[in-house]
Amino acid sequence: MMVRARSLVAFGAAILVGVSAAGAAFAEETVTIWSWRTEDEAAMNRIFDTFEAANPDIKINLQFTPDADYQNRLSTALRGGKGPDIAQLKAYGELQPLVEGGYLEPLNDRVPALAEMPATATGGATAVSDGKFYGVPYSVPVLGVFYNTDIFAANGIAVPKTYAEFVAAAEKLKAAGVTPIASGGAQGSAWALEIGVGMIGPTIYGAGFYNEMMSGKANFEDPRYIATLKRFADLKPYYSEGFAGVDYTTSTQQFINGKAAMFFGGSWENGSFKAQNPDLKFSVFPFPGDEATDKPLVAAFSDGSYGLVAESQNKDAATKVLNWMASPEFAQRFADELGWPAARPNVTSNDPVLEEMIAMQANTTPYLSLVGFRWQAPTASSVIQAEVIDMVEGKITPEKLASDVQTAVDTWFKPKP
Amino acid sequence: MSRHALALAFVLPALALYGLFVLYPLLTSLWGSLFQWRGLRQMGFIGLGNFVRLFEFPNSDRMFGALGHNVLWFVGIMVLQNGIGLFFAYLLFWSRKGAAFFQSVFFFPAMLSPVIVGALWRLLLAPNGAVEWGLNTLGLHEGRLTVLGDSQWALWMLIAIDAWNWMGLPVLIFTAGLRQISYEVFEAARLDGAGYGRMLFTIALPLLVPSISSVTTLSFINTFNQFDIVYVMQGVQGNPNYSTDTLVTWFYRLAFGAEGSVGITDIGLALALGTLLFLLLSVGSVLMLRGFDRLSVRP
Repeated sequence: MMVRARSLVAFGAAILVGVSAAGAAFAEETVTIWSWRTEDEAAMNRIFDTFEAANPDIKINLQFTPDADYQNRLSTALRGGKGPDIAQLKAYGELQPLVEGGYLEPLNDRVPALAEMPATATGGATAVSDGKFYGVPYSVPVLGVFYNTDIFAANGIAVPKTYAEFVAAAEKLKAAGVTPIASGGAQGSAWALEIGVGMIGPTIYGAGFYNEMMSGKANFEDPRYIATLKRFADLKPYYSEGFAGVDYTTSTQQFINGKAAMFFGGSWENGSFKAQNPDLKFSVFPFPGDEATDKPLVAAFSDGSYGLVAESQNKDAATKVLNWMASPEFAQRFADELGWPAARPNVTSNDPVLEEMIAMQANTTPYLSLVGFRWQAPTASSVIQAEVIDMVEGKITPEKLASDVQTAVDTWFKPKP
Repeated sequence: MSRHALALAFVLPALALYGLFVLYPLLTSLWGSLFQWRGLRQMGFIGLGNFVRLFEFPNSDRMFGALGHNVLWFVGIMVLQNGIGLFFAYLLFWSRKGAAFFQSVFFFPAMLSPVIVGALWRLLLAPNGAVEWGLNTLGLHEGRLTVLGDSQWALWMLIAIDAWNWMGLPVLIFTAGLRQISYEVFEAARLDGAGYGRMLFTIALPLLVPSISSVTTLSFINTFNQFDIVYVMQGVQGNPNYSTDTLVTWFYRLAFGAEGSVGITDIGLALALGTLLFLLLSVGSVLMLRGFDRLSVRP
């Protein structure tokens, strides 16, 4: 009896050794990826199933942390050397501290495909210090006007081609008892209003303005920027009732529940609107300028990227994953699963809203306050977000807001002529 | 001597815990405030450089703005919470009937977390919310109520809500304090023809100094550490237009990079601010307690 038990143990051990030997030959590596997009968990898992099917030797372990805690968790983990292999990274200014801390690997040689991606996309993953790429961008959201197609049809309103038509449409909706534009930024959600300002900007200051701002030819006190702020405030009669007390979540609910006809937002709303109300009939159009054009200029930016952690133990496997994330295949899967415009052009879509946004990507200029002025505190965004509600309410003038923004960024911003 | 050693042995575990979890972090942050920081990394020693930056534009605007709000908060709490609380405690002291019941009623909100209180009032005060409906029905207000989005009103709403939240505490302490005063003193005053008002100001108040001292000091510490209600109701930026910003919400933004919802941290500045706040609170509390000590009277 005893002998048999022993031989069983030996047999079991032999099996174990055999299995692990086979494993070594097969070298299955696990690549851990951290992301803050908790709402995309299911879709992201489906996207990476495609990769795992094609690369049986690499397992992807996706971990999600809510946006509010993500930066903290990531920076703490990186300092303690307990980070992931691949981390989702914020764009532009927020990326820099991680690069300067030496926590990330430059990707120029590891991911050659980055060189062929549009500059709008890779700009957000570029380090100021050495000009190298530190992340693979995944999406270039555009800012536009989401509109309820049923409400527009019921009131006989066509997509406005000029600002005058836009105001006329809003006026008509208001007369019909519909909230024309769901809008609110109370309780610390004023970033949503900054997006409204950023969306209107290109139609007033045009395509060259971003470079003028960067080179110091223009600044925030430029009449074109003040006109942008003024236009955002002028639309107040059409915003949600009790605008100053409405927050972002409430305003999205007004649009999702068909109580409001329009919503100023970024591409990412597409997926969340659909998820919250699958029956909602909506689409998106570029905010119109004074003159009618086929392709109005639209604000766009890079949402973020995925970077390689310097202390990762599986750099080769992780690099393989990042190369796939830079491929057209990933861009297509990303657009299909999430309904966001990807970081590469030439993605096709059978979602009409996404198709509209991909068309909008054809004529873009950087989302000024984010791409240009979120590099150091005090950022332009922090001033805009603080004062925008008071400006719309008429407590302060657009000129005052503009000069406060300029005074704030003057403390650190160096134009590059 | 051996007794001394034994006593020390008993104190040691608690002292070790206190040192590890309170003193050590406190000292490291005091030490850290003397260094330059880049992102999350401590760089070179810069002495008082971070403290100097606190007093320069644009940080000075934020600091004095927030400090002003904390001072207003303290004044508001002293009047709204502690003043009215004292009044209620005095009423309860004289009305022997139902005193215990009303004390529990006053204390009920204090059992709720400020986070829950904040979320609740945020709903009540929202446009289209219950308070708006009530005011409009009574004809006191017209249209949409947007007090929380109004930079002139928001701070006062928050202070009032905070006072409502903690009203039970001064009521509890003052009632206990009044009950400790020997009843003969009030009897004698009454025989001499003193009314309730006169008795409050000449007998109750002077004898309540120890209670007033602890309530004031607690309020001072709590109002200068004010964070939770602002965070829940107005967001960490003290919206709108920094009108509800406090020293601790600003500290949070500097330390965790939430200035303009952008993850740019300024740890050096945050630690310098934390150090100043610590000094302000400790010096202020000591001065306050000593000042009240002088005012104490023995009947």
